[in-house]
Amino acid sequence: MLDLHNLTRISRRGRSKALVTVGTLGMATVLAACSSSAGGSTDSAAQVSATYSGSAVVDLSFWSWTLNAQAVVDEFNKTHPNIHVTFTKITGGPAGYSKLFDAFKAGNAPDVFNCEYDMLPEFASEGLVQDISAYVTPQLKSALGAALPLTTLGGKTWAIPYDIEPTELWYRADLFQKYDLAVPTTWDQFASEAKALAAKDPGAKLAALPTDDALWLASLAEQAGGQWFSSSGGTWKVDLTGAADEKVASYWQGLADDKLLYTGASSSPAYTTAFTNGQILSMIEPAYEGAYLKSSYPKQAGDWAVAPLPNWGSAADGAEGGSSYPVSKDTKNTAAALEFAEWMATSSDAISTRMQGGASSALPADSAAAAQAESSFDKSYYAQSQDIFSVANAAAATVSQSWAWGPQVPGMDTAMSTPMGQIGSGGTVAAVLSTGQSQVLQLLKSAGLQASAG
Amino acid sequence: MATLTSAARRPSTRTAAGRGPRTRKGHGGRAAAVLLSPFFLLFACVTLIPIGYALYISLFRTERSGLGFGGSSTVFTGLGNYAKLLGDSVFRAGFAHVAIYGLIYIPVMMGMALAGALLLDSTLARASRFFQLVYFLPSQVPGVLAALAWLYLYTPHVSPLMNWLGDLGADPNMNHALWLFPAMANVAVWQFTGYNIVIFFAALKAIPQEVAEAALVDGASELRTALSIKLPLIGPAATFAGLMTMVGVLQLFTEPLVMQEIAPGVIGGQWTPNLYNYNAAFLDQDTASAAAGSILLAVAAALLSFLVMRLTRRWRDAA
Repeated sequence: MLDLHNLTRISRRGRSKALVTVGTLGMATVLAACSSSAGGSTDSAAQVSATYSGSAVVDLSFWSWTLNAQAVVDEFNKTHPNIHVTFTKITGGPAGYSKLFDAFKAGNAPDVFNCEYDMLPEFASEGLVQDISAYVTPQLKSALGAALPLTTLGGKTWAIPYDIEPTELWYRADLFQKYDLAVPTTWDQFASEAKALAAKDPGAKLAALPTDDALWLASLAEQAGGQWFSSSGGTWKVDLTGAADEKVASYWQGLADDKLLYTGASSSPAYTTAFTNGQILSMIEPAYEGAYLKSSYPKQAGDWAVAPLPNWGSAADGAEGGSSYPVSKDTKNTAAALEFAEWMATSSDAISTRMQGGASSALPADSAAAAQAESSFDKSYYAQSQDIFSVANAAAATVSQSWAWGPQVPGMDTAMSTPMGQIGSGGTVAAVLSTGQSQVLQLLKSAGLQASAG
Repeated sequence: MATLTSAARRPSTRTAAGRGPRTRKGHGGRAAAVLLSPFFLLFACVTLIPIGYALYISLFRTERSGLGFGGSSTVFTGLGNYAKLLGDSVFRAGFAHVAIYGLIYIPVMMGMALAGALLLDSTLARASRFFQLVYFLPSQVPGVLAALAWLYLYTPHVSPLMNWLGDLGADPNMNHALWLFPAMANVAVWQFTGYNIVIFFAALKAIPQEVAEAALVDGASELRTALSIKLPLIGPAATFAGLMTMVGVLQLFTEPLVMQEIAPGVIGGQWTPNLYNYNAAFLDQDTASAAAGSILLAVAAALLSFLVMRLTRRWRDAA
């Protein structure tokens, strides 16, 4: 049934066009010799906080769905003779996490895996990944500072963050020119351009509202100043229905009611067809979307450009998605696993390998790594070879650093998916948020956690 | 099917009696044990033990505390998970959804399958073997692929079917229950009507020819023979097929999972009991609820089957 899920529900967030390739699971070998030190590393911009210096070769396993992950692992194995990482490709989205949770239950989970920020609290609160706070050195903290709050929960750090994903406006530069539209910088302007477009061509829509992805609303709420999860005094505060959330809800509701948006599931053939035919002019997606545009719409080379997300009057942004590398509780060699995780997040070798062929447009949280990404990335697909990384870098600087995710996000997402799917055919954005609010509170409480509406 | 009519039953009893008294009872018992043991071994491994394990884990729940980062413990909760599920309107709605789907799908499919089988069996039918094969083919398409194929046929702007419906003035909106239920039932009708035609046709073939001939000789029309003679005689086969279909409907999973893509506003992640259980087990990591949900689903299937058997027996006895 899991493969069925892969076939059908390829979520936008974890979109991976490849099917699962069966890889061998690297069996972690029991090796005693290991040590932790704050020793430097020649290929790293940040200080490596954990290194494995034993002479016997340690076997590690790593699961991910990101493009070029195999090449990144090969590069690591080549440069680290005493650690051997075996890579297994899994699918992104719910099916991939399902596989991970099952592997933990079966006792054969990977030592390191790719985990999005919104899923990390679930792994952490189930005790499946290690508290790595002790390894977070001041150097690492300053390098990954912007993203560390996303992997630090309840005062403990649970994973090495890789990227920060500011939400941006990806748009068809050619069609904006054709319809004589300005690239909007504020949401007011976004709405007026949407109306202008509707007047010029009733068949075209300025943007898409993906009705199969309720968490799409999260970064928009974050930008407006909302904060869905926070914790204080050992209690989760949940707030999906605050003033900022209501502002976002009524804005998008207005656009949807006026039929100014394309509303449909982003995983459906109709959605892709509409973009292929140029019926939708833009999408509101994070930095990583750039690489997916290239693989999804290869014929539109030279047409796509990116701009900062329109805002409410002053520069602000939210982040959507983004990945981290937690270390399994079952790993036989934490130091080696952490060395690998850190290398992936901070080493210039890892970044340049990952960027090969423009396969990833994710913005590394580490600034040195981000600079490396910018110079290694193949920009030729974008309109006038736009430097999409510089846009992402500037946007990332405006992302609030207080956003956090809590446990039970998967259950919350499931509950929100039905009202979200009704947008465009009678449903409301406000109903999506209020469903999420009540459902996650109920889920947190029924799991025995302290939670209250905040 | 030889036992369907008393006419057919009588000769077979005679043959058995003709063999004489059974000899060496003990040997027969041992042979039976040897022959049946593979079945019971498999039955225990893939049915009894898993059910027992599901029953066991359904009695516990995982408890965390505070912010949830201090680990978790498993506590005995008795029937707590069952009470939670029965009190959950989403879980109960799942049963309503399969009921609506079944009320559309089962009568349409059974009606078409019976009509199709009777047509094939009529003396006027030609090339019945060929048509049996053609009707049977869709059932050999795996459920996922059938659902995916129809998913494309239901996608506006991509599918010719949707374009034709649009030309006819209809405005098909799969993201609405009024369209979705029939559309989903249609997939199953397409897939399983032929399969049941073949089953019913086999049952019709088992009816002694002299019975139908006698009706024709007595002046009954082809239609009258089909409705008054043949149909009642394949009643037990139809009941059984209907029962199996009903149990299948209760387990509805693949079609809604696939169709979710075009009907995200109707089909939620917990839309049928099986989706609910799947979601609990694999997305929420709540295996205890999933186990309790599966047991409840099995109980519902058993109760429903029992009820249908009782009712049909009463009807048949009354007839």
